[in-house]
Amino acid sequence: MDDTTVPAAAAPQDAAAPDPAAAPDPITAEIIRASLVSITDEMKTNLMRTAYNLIIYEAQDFTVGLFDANGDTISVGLGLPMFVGGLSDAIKAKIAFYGPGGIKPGDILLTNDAYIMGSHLNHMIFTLPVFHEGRLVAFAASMAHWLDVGGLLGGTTTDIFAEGLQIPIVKLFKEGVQDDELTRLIATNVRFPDLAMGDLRAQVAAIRTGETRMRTLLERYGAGTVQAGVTGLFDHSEELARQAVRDIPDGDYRAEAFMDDDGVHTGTPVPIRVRVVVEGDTMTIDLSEMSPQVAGYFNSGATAGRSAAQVAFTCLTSPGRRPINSGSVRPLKVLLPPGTVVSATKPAAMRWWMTYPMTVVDCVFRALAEVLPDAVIAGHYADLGMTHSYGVDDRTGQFFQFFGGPQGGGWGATSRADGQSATICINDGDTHNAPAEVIEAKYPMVTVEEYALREDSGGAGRNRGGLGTRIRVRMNTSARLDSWIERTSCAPWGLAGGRDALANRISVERADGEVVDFRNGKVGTRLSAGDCHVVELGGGGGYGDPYERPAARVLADVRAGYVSPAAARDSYGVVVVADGEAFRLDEAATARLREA
Amino acid sequence: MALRAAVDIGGTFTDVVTYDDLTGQLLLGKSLSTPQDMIQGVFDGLAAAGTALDELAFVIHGSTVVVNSLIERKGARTALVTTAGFRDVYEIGRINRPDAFNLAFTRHEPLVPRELIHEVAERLGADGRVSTPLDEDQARKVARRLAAQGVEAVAVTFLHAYRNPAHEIAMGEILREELPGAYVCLSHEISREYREFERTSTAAANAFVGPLVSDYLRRLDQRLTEGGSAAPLAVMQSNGGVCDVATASSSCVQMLESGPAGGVVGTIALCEALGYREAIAFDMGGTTAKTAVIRDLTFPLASDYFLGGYRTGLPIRIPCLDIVEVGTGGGSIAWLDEARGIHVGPRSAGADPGPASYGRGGTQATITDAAVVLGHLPAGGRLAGGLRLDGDAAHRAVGALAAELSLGPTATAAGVIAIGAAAMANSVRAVTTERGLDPRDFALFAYGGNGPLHISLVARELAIRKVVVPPFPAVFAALGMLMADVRRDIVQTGVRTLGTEEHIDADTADSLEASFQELERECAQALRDGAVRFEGLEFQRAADMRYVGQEHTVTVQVPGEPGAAALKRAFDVTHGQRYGHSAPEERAQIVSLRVSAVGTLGKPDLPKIARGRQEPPAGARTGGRDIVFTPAQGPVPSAVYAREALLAGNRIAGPAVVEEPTATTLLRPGDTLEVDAFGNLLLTIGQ
Repeated sequence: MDDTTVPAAAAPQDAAAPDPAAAPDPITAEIIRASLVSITDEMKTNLMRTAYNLIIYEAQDFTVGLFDANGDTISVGLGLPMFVGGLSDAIKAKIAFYGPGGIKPGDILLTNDAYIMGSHLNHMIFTLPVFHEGRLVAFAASMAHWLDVGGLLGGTTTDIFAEGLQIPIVKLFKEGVQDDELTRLIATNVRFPDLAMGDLRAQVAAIRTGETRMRTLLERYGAGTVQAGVTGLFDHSEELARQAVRDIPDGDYRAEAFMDDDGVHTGTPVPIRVRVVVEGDTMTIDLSEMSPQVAGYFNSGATAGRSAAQVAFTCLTSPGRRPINSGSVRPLKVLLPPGTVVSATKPAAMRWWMTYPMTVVDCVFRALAEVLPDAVIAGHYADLGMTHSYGVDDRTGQFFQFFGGPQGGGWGATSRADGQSATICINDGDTHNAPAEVIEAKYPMVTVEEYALREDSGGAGRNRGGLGTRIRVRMNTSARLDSWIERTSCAPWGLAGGRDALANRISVERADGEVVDFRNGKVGTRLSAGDCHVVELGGGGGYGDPYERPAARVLADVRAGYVSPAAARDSYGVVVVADGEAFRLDEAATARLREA
Repeated sequence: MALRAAVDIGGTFTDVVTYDDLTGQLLLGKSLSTPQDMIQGVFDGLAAAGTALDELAFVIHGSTVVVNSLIERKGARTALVTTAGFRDVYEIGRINRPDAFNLAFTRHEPLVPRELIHEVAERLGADGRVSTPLDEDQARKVARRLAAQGVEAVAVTFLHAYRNPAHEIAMGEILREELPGAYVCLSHEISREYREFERTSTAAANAFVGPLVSDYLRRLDQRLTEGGSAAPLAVMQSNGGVCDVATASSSCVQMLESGPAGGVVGTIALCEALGYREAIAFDMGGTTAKTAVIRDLTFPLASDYFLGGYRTGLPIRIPCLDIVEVGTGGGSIAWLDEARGIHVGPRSAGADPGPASYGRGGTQATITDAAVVLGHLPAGGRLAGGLRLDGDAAHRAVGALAAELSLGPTATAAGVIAIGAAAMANSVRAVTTERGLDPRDFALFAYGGNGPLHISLVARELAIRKVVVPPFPAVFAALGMLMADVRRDIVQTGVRTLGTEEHIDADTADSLEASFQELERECAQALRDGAVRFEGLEFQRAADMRYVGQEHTVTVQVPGEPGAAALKRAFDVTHGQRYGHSAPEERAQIVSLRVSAVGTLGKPDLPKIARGRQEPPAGARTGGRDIVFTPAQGPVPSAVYAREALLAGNRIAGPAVVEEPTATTLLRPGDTLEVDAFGNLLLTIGQ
């Protein structure tokens, strides 16, 4: 286990002991590895294409995977990177709950327990055991975000009970037969039962695909060989990660940042403190100095805290290796006592769990910046930038709700390259924005007026941070607007002399011309028809001294409109003068500024 | 004046296949491609096939010119004009980060720099209604500014132009007035689907290659004419049909997958001849293997295509061959990671230096080297271009890898082949099982230079029993082009709710038939206006559909049975088949209508070969060699046959190889082969 203070949920399973004689040769091992990746890819395709709600198929807020009989991750298909450990922890809890022999072929286990999976109640986790020759040898599981699970519609929650339907660990299917009463109970407690039941079917289909293909693999190679292949995969991934950790100088490193507030105690910052200890081939990420859990719904559970540490660790040690499995995080220890904002306990509110862990990840990179200058990345805008507009459409009398975002912001620069602009935050991966044409076809109460890069939002540096974006949305009816935008005060930081980026921001432009600037990003306001809300997401921090950026590159940035002439002068010491509609470099003035 | 010729310019070779309508004879030519002046390769290839230009009656051309220009980013200085407020749609893209844990990730790189992207005030609603009229003064200013910026091509993408193209058309007129020499591409001319980034990317790519490609086609046509050819020139498109030069010059991106499309058209033609309706086309070359699935003899179209791959590629939104590619080819390199795990591909030795056994300086073991070590390919065997396979070099390369793995060279070589086959089998699964199809229900057609060599193992992985190796597998794409018809597709977005089978929305049902007919008229007119003459005209209708609430759609072939209720039923069936569940009680929506118009062209009769007995003729067996199939079993004496000497009805049982100048078919123990009347090798794969 990668954890020393939270008790492990795993219980011993009646797992088939791998037959050592069946340990596969390197060739078979590689073929099994590729097959496992292919199975989770197929589960992912299946779920994405059949899901009913756009948070699954566009935002890819889901994760599918295969797990061994102990619940350790064999392969996960993301989905949602910040959920990398969520499925495994949930399966371990399910195993512990039913005990050895309590899970039968065809059982489909369901839970959305926020404190087991570390995140909000919208995440439904379905698990199907894989049996081979009468023994439970693996699990196929899928998590997906349901659009609605009941609970308070707008405003802030301060406990889990206000957030909707809580499903403890239950068997939704018993030996292949769906429990209709349980199904009706669920359908009754959600606002869009048709969508929910569509998503339910999609999730079940995905895990059945995983189970079928896993059984085929077991039949083909034998359980002993496959299990030995999985053990080898864990060991192989562990060895690769240990090699990477060994290259990091031993030491005790720290970094901190802060969140704006918890949405209840407005203006009271919430500290994020991270300590990273490297000793030989082991890394410890210590989150014990994080803020205690808060009153508002920005808490997440221990699984999310551990997953944040694992995301940072994976980025630094084994980016791009597949499958993503438990072996690759074995060299990581996470210190995480219960009761922090990323290890919250019942009944902490969790609805907006996604925000804080992202800043934890960035702080790990920040802590290691001096010893791993070529591996880390400067801070990013670290938020989803989500808004929620809802109400009864004045023109049709119909209730509607429109979720704005994600729209992308800037990523930090590295020692090697400028940061990427307009990119999804680290909580998410292959998540897409919503095209204006799709939004307007689907939501006639909304007009997108602008979707643009935000000039000068990238932190200055030898390598410049990526640019954030601005979206301006006009409501064609009166509506209520809520937003959950964080990090409006703590700007994405530069590294190695690079400057900070612009932070996140939201404002409202009333139809009569009045501009309302909000003090932070957690807004609750009424909009009249014709009012616009404007979400401006931050950039990424710069890397290195901006005065070292070649003047020609600054000029190119000015020509492209990424950097204004004023910022070129003030931040980079580069004087660019307008020449009609073109720009040219004033070399003499630049030399004077840069030498001063 | 009776020769039809297909010329397929690929990365390494230019392949020519000609067919003589009078004698029914097929002739082949293969020459090295000439990247400096690609047109020269056409004439080299025609010469290699012994074709006199004045004998040509029809020329079909496929080429990598568009792919090369886009991948190498050698195209026109291109500008983009957008709706005010949306200048950055092209750079922002879809914001996704497929490499979730890679901090060095990079996103797509636009073909147009931001300083050449300009906004114009205008706006339409999603219903196509004008909410802000086009500001013509501003439009003209932008056009003049672009002229001053020295642009050679301009793409225009206005929001919701797929519903109402009026503003794009007006902008186009202004651009043509102010920039008379420039290539102008209006987004709605090339894609009428919603999603502004994808349409912008498509229009920008088309504009970027437009000047080069239209010039290339014009010069090719001219040189053919000057050489004495009176034949119309047709261009192979990614949609499986051909078009005339004028159409190809305005829809250049339709040429993107012209070569692979030829192979799939050829597979469909063979399926018709052999009585199959469902097939998998598998094309394995030097660097990749490509797979497409054919259902009910229909050319498979995908709605999304990414140039340069999904992760960082540029989306091209056209009706394009639905093909899955995996980085496994003859040149794929076997390598070890830092913890000594073995992997094969996608790194490739390419054509230069090529596999170690090419003897041109390659030292890393590739799939081809492994095939030489096992005897699947003969050491000393002849390669195109006068080279011979260097057995010692293959053994050295595989031996070095084996030493690092602490395995024997034979086991290592067999492992490299097996890993490659497993990867290719997984990519076949991506177009079959991932879509709810069972690959065992399909005949597997293997072609490309390496397809016939590896197909037996790939088929075994998938438990497919029926494999077809067509004649001339290494130039099969060119052969397939001769089987193509002239074709035009339109995909038109317009979201409408259809209802359920019991409760069909009456307005939708009425408007549906009218909309399809209107699109058919438009397609037919475009074909009639074209320079390629055709015989019959057929239409295919399909609809992109979903349940209300879903976003993604599935493409449903409109059934023969008329009526909206039948369409809803067909959608339920398609959804259930593809995803394992359907919801007949739920309402369906139509997002886009698809119409294809196909004008039939005369085609070659597939030549038949002489009939023989079950036993191949004495001269067909050219020798034998020891071949390793499984390391445990060791070398097995195997017969070697020359394909050109085989007769229809001949049967061969594995282990054996069938050799022809540019390809080798490998029969594993348990496999059997029968030669059919057309010279196809029909393999039955052992269990």
